[in-house]
Amino acid sequence: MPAVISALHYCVPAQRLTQAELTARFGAGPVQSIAKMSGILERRVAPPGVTAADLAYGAAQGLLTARAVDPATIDLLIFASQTPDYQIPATACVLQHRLGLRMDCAAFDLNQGCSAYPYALAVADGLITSRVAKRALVLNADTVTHVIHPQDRSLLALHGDGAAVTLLELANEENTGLRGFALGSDGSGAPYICMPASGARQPRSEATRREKSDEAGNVRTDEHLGMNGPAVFHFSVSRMPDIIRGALQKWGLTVEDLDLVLLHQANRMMVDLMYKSLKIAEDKRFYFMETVGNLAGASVAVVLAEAWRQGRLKPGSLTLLVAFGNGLSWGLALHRWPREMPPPVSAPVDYVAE
Amino acid sequence: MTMTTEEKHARLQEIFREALDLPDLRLTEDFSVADCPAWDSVATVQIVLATEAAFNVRVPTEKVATLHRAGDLLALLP
Repeated sequence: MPAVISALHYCVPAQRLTQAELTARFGAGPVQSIAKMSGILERRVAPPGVTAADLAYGAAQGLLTARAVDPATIDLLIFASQTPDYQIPATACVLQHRLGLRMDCAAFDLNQGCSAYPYALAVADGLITSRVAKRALVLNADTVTHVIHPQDRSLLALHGDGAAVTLLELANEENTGLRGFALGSDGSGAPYICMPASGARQPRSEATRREKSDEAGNVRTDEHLGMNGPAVFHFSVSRMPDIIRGALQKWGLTVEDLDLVLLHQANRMMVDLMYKSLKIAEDKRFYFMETVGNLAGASVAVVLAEAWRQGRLKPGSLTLLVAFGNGLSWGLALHRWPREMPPPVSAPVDYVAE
Repeated sequence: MTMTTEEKHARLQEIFREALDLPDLRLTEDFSVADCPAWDSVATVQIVLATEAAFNVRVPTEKVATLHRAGDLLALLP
């Protein structure tokens, strides 16, 4: 039996970055142009001092409380993020302690960007099915806005901060749970989304703190996140549909077999072009980016949690999760919901400081 | 049917005019990002997708990453 998702919850900061604030900073034209493509009209933004781990903690506490889960039953914690609290130690270990989990709970970080959710699910599924763990908390969280230069409108207008928590355990119904994964990468595109001075390759210095502008006037330093937007957009709409078709073929499925297809909520035009290319029917589509922004590594987990909250996940139905982003990297996960499906976690999603 | 160079140029000019909202644009091979504040990353995406549809070609992503000049795109057309 594979692992099954038995509960999901998410947490976003209460603070919002509005179109009016962006317009005051960058002017109406560029802001409207990005919004027309992205469909993102508001972002949830973590204030200084609130980290991805804090949002993940908020999501996890919300789930554990709402579902009355005994923390002592959790024996695996994965924290998937590219904005951890520390390079050393693993943030997952800090969260193990904060959440009051057992000391024989395995806890480690997984460094992956927007494709993190299928990767984290695949790792948790592997450890559960191999009996290394029985009950896992997978935390997907990012505070990407903290690594974007305040004068980089191309990224500020797209991104928000957020975290999701997924509770996984061994399925107890035939043909339910995680049914397949397809993971991949193309490192030739690594420079397209990169924070150059963020590790050992390019140590931070006065030079890496120097501001520079691109042709469009976006400002950043080598210590900030940079993105070649056109290249990433093009990769997503030209390569991802073929990757999805290939995975479905490998699994002996067609898009007609899927009940819901959830794509990384990068921007509306990109998602629509992918849906159109794959000929996904309107009633199998779902969006959740307009009021929160692109939540990076938390994006696909959050859209799945929100789909559950809005009643879009039906007992026995089949959901395809598709994530892609920096690396370049991508991941697909296929999940069949049990016939005996619990209700969604309906706890509040706004972050409240401890 | 193969397009002549003039026809390709005219079609590409239409695409640039629409993406950049410049109805009177006279497109030259040297027209570049530096000449036009409206040519931002969103416009690049629109130009590439419209070009791929109009000419039934796939522009390599690495070319999209460095696209700054109309001539770069014209050189990729069949």
